Amino acid sequence: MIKFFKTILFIDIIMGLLLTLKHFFMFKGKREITIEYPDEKKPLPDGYRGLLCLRRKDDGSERCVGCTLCEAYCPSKCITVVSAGAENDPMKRYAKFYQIDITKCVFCGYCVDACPVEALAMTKRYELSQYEKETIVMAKDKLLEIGDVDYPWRKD
Amino acid sequence: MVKLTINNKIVEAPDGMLLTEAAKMAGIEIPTLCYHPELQPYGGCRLCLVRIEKMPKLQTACTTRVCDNMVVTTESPEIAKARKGMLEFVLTYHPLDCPICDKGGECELQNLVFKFGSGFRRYAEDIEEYTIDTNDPLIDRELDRCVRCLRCVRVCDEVQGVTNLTAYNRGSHTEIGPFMGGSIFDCEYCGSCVAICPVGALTSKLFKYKARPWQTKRTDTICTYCGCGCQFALETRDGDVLRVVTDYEKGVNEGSLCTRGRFGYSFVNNKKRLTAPLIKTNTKLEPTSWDEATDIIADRFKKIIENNGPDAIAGIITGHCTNEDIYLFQKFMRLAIGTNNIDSAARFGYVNAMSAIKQVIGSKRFEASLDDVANADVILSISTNITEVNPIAGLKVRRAAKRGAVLIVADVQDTDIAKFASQNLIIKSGSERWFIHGLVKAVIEKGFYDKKIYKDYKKFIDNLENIVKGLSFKEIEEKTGISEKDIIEAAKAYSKAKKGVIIFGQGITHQQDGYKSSLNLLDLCIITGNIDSKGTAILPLCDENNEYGALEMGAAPEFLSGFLNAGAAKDREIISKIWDKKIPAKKGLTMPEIFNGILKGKIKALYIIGENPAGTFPQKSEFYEALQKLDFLVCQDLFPTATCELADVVLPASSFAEKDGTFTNMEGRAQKIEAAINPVGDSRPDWQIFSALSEKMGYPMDYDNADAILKEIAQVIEGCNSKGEGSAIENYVKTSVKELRAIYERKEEKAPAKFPFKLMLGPVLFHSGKLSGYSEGPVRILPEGRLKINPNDADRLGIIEGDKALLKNANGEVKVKVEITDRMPEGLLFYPEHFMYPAVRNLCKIDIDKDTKANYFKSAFVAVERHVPEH
Ligand code: SF4
Ligand code: SF4
Ligand code: SF4
Ligand code: SF4
Ligand code: SF4
Ligand code: FES
Repeated sequence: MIKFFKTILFIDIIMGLLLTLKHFFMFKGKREITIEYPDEKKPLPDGYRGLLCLRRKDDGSERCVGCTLCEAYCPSKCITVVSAGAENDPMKRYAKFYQIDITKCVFCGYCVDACPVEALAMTKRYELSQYEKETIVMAKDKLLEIGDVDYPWRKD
Repeated sequence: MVKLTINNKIVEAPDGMLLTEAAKMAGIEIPTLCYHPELQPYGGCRLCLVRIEKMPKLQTACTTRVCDNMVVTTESPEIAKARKGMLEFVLTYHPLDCPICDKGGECELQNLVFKFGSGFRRYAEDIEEYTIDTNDPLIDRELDRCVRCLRCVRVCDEVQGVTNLTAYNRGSHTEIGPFMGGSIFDCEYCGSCVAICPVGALTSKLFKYKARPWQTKRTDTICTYCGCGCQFALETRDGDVLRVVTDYEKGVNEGSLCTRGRFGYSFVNNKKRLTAPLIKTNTKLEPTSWDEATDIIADRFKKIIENNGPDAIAGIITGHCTNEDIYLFQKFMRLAIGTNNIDSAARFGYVNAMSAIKQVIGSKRFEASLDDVANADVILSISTNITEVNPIAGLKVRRAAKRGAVLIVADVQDTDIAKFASQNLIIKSGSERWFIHGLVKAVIEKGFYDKKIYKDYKKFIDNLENIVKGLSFKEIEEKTGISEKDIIEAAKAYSKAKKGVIIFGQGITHQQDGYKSSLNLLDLCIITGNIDSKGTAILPLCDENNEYGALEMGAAPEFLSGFLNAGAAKDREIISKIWDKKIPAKKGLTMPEIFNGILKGKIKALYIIGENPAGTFPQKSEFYEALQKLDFLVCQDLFPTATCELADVVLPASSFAEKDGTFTNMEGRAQKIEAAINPVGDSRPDWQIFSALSEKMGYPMDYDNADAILKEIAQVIEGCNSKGEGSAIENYVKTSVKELRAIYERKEEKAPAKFPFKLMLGPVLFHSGKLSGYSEGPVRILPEGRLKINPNDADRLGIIEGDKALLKNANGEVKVKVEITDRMPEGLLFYPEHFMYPAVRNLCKIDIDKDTKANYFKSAFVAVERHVPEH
């Protein structure tokens, strides 16, 4: 019986509209829901998986040893590593060429997991859209640059 | 066969088989580390522990042989625990630097620990200091990663027979290194130890850190250096050849390679490669398009044909090209140009052996198997220096000798293979024919010949007896330095053999009268009954990898495809029918005749593929001059050679790594090669170039791919077989006494008093032709040539190691570094033929064989003195 009246009198709809009305007149600052992106940004949790970067050791040298595990592990095949022996010390392995094609990256973080020397890390950067795709196909120097800002190393 | 039970499964296996192998056959995996199917059981790592009923404790499966009613368990908690423990032991001192280690991704230890290990180690020992030695030019030793399986030591000894590696110190201090100490391996650099090391303890410098195994593409192919025709795989990434790997189950080489095959690959990506067609404008070579280059060639060829006839054009092709390339080249020359003036690198000597063999066996295809060599009971190796020229064939000889075969080695110097020989006969240089005739004489006069053969070929043997009667053992000893007793002993051993094998090399084929000497050796085979029966073989060694193919495809004026006789109208008819166009009847010119033709003005244009006469002929020779006299020279090569500089058009060809096709090795075995990378730069496979040219010449030879050419080749060869004839040997033994006498002629060469030393140029282990000089590996081991000289000679001349010697004769003089070695007899000098500078080749003169027109320019008489550097 009650259900019948509720239906023919549109009670549910009216209740819903009342809620809308309530929010419509709610004042900013009190129980704010909308974030006015891009003027305002949501604080990100720790462990947020954003843009990748390469880190350095405390002496400023690259951490990456060019082991290629990140490339092997990446499910979307966006990492390319060409390893080589360092010029001045052929016994030292490093990545002669390192590139992440961010256009393909799915931000799964597997590469970071795979990296045995903690050379790869994820930053909290997420605004990556560009007019030119090439700008976010990132080579080693670019990734290191980002790492230098987001994971500063100690300069003695 | 025995029956045993493994994991409740009844398994049948041959008696005496190792348990690991029997289990593998039954599809049961027993983890191993020190075991390797190529090597003798060792039992050092104890990872293969299994439980065998009625035996105390766990047993190592890799050292236990199966027997009837054996009951084996390979998986149980007890065994898993034992394995875990063993792995933990192995890891006690292991650095676990997998991210850097070059073996990561294909490391057997990594895989084992991943699968069976526990993931941590309880032993908290301080990591010991182990040798990390990177001073060797090719092989790095990082012994902290060594698991002491001794696979490297064993492969070097058991398979390679070099015994260069050893394990020194004891227990956990054990290290691996060269037997003589020091950090330089200074061995044959076959790389087997690197390939067999299960971990990253021995690694190749050339591949170091270049890629992970999962990043590379593997392409099975055949080595392009020598006539052994070893099989290997090229690992490539993005057009770069990164390394060579083998599978011990595959190919004639069964996984072994020599240093050229293993480390000589980088010429493919050498920056000096020709990448675009070049044409000569004024005096400089300028890059151009393929279209223009081929247009110019076709135009000039057409004009020359118009003015001087097709026989004013000639072509020479290298034995490094595929069968398809060579086949199409000779078809191009014979049909599109219309001449038989074609020759190949086989003219430097291999043709001698092949012509002789064809003379005896007729239309039958020549085949000899390296397996027969490995299984022979007597091997007669004459002037081969086999371990350096054809190392894998050398390996088979070593294997036979180790197995107990009688090995008789005759050479002008003390060669490496001689250390396995039962008889090491060092004959004087230039006396090879006396030696061979001595053997024939001994066989006949001492009655060692096959009795059945004597009945069949009585006349032949009597004729031979007549001829060798005039030669006394005393004269032979005088000339060769080998006593009657030794010759008789060698002849006896060879004639009593059930599986007798004769191997002869450049010392016979690339010398004056090479054709006759080859025939003499064949006579020896015939009269001892070692020619047709199973297991016997006569094997001429082959320096370039496809010289056999070059002759079989018909890149010779006297041979059509399938060794048909170009001089016989009937044979020409067979091929003409398949080709649907008449083959010119006019006799073609051989290589020396071509160069003489140029000098006489008869030949106007030369098309050279992969050969470099300007860089190989002595500069003072007429042939060298001839190159300058040409109206039109086309060069097709991988690298800008000295000949390219003289050329009017230079075409860039693709290397073996960039094309499909087949190579025929010295056994007569045709093997497929496959393109591993795209052609470098704008280069093209040779056959495509011929195809493009033929279209512009108005006789299109259009093929979709190399396979289509191979199909046509198969058709042609089949056509040849239909020829049919009686037993060729029957014909051969009818040779008249007069002819035989000519075949048994001996010419003596006398050193002029002013130039008492005989200088020989020849191949060495670390190089092959001129290609290896563009590869990093061979160059690192042997960057320059050294003149080998006997210590007594050196003493007399006041030369000490590290000095330079001045070689002089009428043709000029050169300064070379010396290496003093008692392997050289007195009066003889040896210099590797692969080096352009110093140009020792300029001292030589060109000799031309009367029978086959083979041209030799690898020896000279010289005077030697110590070179005093000016200050
Ligand atoms: S980033 Fe890490 S995982 Fe990737 S290659 Fe470098 S060291 Fe290896
Ligand atoms: S040898 Fe194997 S386990 Fe040892 S560091 Fe190298 S890859 Fe890792
Ligand atoms: S490279 Fe060959 S010859 Fe040299 S040590 Fe290794 S296995 Fe022995
Ligand atoms: S160097 Fe390699 S092959 Fe040799 S013992 Fe050590 S681990 Fe085994
Ligand atoms: S050069 Fe000859 S012996 Fe050496 S790997 Fe190549 S084919 Fe084999
Ligand atoms: S594999 Fe059996 S003991 Fe090493």
